[in-house]
Amino acid sequence: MRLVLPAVSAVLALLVLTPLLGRGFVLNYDMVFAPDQSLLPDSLGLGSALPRSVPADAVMSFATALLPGDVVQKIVLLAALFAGPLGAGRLVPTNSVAIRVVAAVWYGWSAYVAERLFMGHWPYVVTYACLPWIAAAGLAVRRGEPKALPKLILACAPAVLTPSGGIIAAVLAVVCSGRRKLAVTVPVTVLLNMPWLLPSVLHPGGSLSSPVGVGAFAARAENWGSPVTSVLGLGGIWNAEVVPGSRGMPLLPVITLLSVAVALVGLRSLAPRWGLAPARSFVVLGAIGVAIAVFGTLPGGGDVLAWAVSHVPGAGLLRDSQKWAAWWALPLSLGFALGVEAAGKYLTNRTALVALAALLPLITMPDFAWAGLGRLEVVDYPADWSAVRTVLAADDGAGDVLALPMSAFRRFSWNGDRTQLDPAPRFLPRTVVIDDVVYVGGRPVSGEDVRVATIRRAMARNDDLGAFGIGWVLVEHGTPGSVDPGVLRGLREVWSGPWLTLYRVPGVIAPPPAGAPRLPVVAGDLGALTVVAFSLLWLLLPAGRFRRSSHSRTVEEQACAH
Amino acid sequence: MRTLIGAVIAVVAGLAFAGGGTYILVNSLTPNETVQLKNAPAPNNSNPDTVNYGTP
Repeated sequence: MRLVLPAVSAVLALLVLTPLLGRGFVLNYDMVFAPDQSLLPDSLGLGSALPRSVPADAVMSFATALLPGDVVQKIVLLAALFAGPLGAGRLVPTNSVAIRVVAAVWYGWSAYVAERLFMGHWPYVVTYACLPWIAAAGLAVRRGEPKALPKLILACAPAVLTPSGGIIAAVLAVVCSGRRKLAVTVPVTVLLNMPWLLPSVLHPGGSLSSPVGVGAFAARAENWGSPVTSVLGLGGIWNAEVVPGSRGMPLLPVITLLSVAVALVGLRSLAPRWGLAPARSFVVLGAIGVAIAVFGTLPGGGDVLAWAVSHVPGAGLLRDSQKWAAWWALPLSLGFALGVEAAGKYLTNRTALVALAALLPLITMPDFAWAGLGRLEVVDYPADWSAVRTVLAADDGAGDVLALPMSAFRRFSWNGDRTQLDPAPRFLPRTVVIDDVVYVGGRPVSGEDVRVATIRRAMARNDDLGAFGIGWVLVEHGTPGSVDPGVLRGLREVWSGPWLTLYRVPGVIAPPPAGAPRLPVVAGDLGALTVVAFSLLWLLLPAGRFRRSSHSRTVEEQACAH
Repeated sequence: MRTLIGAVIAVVAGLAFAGGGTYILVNSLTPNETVQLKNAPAPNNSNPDTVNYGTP
């Protein structure tokens, strides 16, 4: 019976990822992996852009140094889709394996995972997978169990690869560990988040965002129900293009409200098993997650958020607010499973009820299976990319790369015309400057990178790009957007292929603008790494055995004395 | 009693799914006349100069 839960979790992961397990890359929206990602200043948050993918990029550069990038990508996705349901199933306070399976399926086969995966937000999927393990370790810390703190730190470590993921993980860890452990859990979780926190705070351009994005990235209704019912059902991501078609099913709001009602009944049995304080905090955090997620859609909420992101540094994290519904996923899954357990007591044969409860997520969202029924596919980068990488790696000259046409996103026929983030910054061995304006529904949402804005103005005047630290210009072909021939005039063509052309900027290349100061940022990285390393050693070294042997020796000495 | 409950669940679920499916089909077959195509934003990626990040 011990293998049932891991087996169910593995089946769930394979049901989604089997078509993607061949060699090659899954490149969709924000998901970019490269064969061998270089460690660049931007990977640590030391560049001119805000550290949105920090330290994820640094971790991936180390991971792809050991294994090919496509293998790393598959391992990350498989591990996340397996660990999430497994952790949720283990967290349910019950003796019934069947009830654990219900919680596992509800947690693993959720709209949150599907939409974030289709959006390419793999760090959020990883964070989501860590949450049950963080909750379990946090509850163990609250109970004062031995070695609970290193377990909590290690459960948080994969979740803190991005700013939002780090906050989601840290808050859950602190809440589950309880008020009496604040003196330990708060400093530890802050230290774990230092790799993105310090570069954000020390970023020279500040960390204010465009208020236009608040409306564009607000949670949305996926059917006739409101954004509230969508978020309660763990969906409601801002981008309609990544939502599984089944989320538009007219019956879904009714099913969502019924499942929430069952979950609320089930959550009442959490307090006698966990204790009132942890159970209450756990559920309240879930409710707060839903409230933040839908806040921008409430009357006046959008205005408040728009003011906040343009005046309060870091408040831009509140955009794309549906991500905070991750806190609601565990109370919903565990509560629903416990609710089914409670209902089963009134039936003589509860098999049918449990089977229906476990299958309901798959029945209501069948189009998550098989990589979203072909929505995601594995592709290979054209040979041009490796050729350009070789040219840039072989040159010792200074200068960053400017990617043209000016657009953060690309659509290549070699990737089925999917919308994908420009892979150049992660594929090439030099800092690549890409446009940070994104178009949502055809309307531009401006970015925060001052350097990009300066370069855009310089190109409009046909100024020398070398004065802005640009030593190379990469023109990507076969993607929407045009390149002003005036910008390329005077540049020397170094390499050209069907998909890419690389130009050298002649003359003196100025150093790139300074980013966040290196010393504190690297110190923060080392601090976080040290905490994780010590936790690993704490778990692996036989510290407890030394204590026991010392105790038993004392007992033996006393026995001899008598 | 057990069989009765099972039958009721099966019938209600079947009706609900059938009703939902019919609603989707009817809705997708009927043109939405309230949409003003003249002022509508460009559908994703139809603009040759930009790549849309997404559609709210």
